[in-house]
Formats: sequence, C-alpha cells, structure tokens
Amino acid sequence: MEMSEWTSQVRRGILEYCILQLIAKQPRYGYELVTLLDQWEPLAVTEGTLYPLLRRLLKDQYIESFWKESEAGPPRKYYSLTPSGHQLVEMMSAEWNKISRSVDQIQIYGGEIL
Amino acid sequence: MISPYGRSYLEKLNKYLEKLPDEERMDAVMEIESHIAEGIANGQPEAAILSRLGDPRKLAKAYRSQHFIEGHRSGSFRDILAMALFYCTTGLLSIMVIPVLAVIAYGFGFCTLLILVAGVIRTFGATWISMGVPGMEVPTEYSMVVAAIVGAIIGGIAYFSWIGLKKYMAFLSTHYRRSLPGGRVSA
Repeated sequence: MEMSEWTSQVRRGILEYCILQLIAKQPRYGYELVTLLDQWEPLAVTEGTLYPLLRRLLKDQYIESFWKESEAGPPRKYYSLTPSGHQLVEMMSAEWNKISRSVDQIQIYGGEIL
Repeated sequence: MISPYGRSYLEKLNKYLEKLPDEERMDAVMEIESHIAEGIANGQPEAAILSRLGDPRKLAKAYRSQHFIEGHRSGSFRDILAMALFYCTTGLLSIMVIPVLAVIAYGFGFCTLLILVAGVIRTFGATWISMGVPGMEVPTEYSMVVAAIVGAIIGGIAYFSWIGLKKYMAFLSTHYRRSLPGGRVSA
C-alpha cells in the first residue's frame, strides 16, 4: 500500500518526461506510445493515464496534435512537440541527469565523500 | 470493425465526458475510437482492448481530473458532494476514533513504564507499593515477573492502539490527497 503509493508518485513525473522524449524524436500516436512504453515494465502505462496526460500537455502547449489518415487502419491522432515543449524536454533532461547521478552515488556510496 | 459492444463503450465514454467542452469531448472519444480500431488492426481481441481501457466512467473521470488541474472548474456538483461525504463521515469517525486510540496508546504506554518501574523498586524493598489482587499479595521476589507480565499486556494494548492510530491517520491522509481535484492520476 505505502510502497505502491511511493511508486506511483515517483513514476508520475518520470512518465511525463519519457512521453515527451518519445514524442521529441518523431510524431507519435497514443496506441504507439502505449505499446512502446509497455516494453519497459516500470513505465508501462494504462490508457487512463496516458490520454488524460497528453491532453494536459496539449493544454499547456508543450505538445500539439494533428489527425492523419493511416494506410490500413483508422485515422490517427499524432502528437509532436512545440518549441516550448522542446525547451521543456531539454531542461528536464539536464535535471534528470543531475538527479539520477546524485541518487546513484547515494545508492552506491551511501553518502561517503569520495 | 468495432463491434456494437465497442460502440456502446464509446457512447458511454461520450456521456460521462459531457462536462468537457464539445470539441474536446468529441476529440477525446474519436481518439479512443482510433485506439480501439488500432488495437483490432494489430490483432488484439476487442474485449482485451476494452478491458485495458477500463470502466468508461473511470476513464472519463481521469480526463475530468486533468481538467480540474487546469483550473477550469472548481468541481462539479457530484465531486463536491463526494468530498463533502468523505469529510462528514471521516470527520465524525475521527472525533471518536482518534482521541480514544490516542488516549489508550499514550496513557497505557505511560502506565507500562510505571508498572515496570514499580516492579523494580518493589523488588528492592519499597513496601508501600502493593501488588496483587485483593486478599492475595504478590511475594516481593516475584515483583519483577508480575510487573513484566502485566506490563507486557498493558504495553501490548498501547502498542496496538498506536499502530491502529498511525494506520487510521495514514488512511485519512491518502484519501484526503485523493479527494483533491486531480489527486487521482494513478497509473
């Protein structure tokens, strides 16, 4: 109970960053994002989390969307980064590197000064 | 492609999203429709896709709670009612539960200490401390043993009340956070 609460809090922020990173490379649609994220067990996301999150990012104008016909299936709603989204991803990326390096050091060395 | 069952899922979603502006609601439903069709095109059974999407009411709620974060609405009639009910019931319960558990936990905890101290000093000759049931006094040399047993019982009660108190308050805090608009963005 307490563990899952912690996990979901940690994931919440990371997930947003990962989604932005995936969209940064190329425009992607929701089904594609769910399938991609499913490859990494800790990042697997339900539609009930993904679509509302995308909607909020749209509102905040970090991403934009467009509908496009697909060859075989139904039309797809693609998402891509706006200039401010690219900026956000860059800042998040720098921040993430700092955080993960610090946490790694604490995990390995337990705070001993090297 | 999409079966009548899938259609009825989309209709329900549409209905539960009625509080969103029309354009956004239609876009959201179209996107979920596209998601289902995409899954079918990729060979997934429709039932599996729908069960992953979950209860349309919950999916709609997830959309709506994101809506709250954006600050467009302070909360619908139903959401406020749910919050009010939560505060009323837990509030009333808390008036009973918290003081009772807190008094038992701290009071009994303090008594445990007293009993143990009494056991020690009685062993060393403090005759003014009486120990035992009426008509049957505990012999001085058994003071420590009796104090330890009684202390363990009283201490145990204190301990479990304390655990209960902690759990109850943790439960309240989690649900309080969840009852806040947008607090339920669980994955």
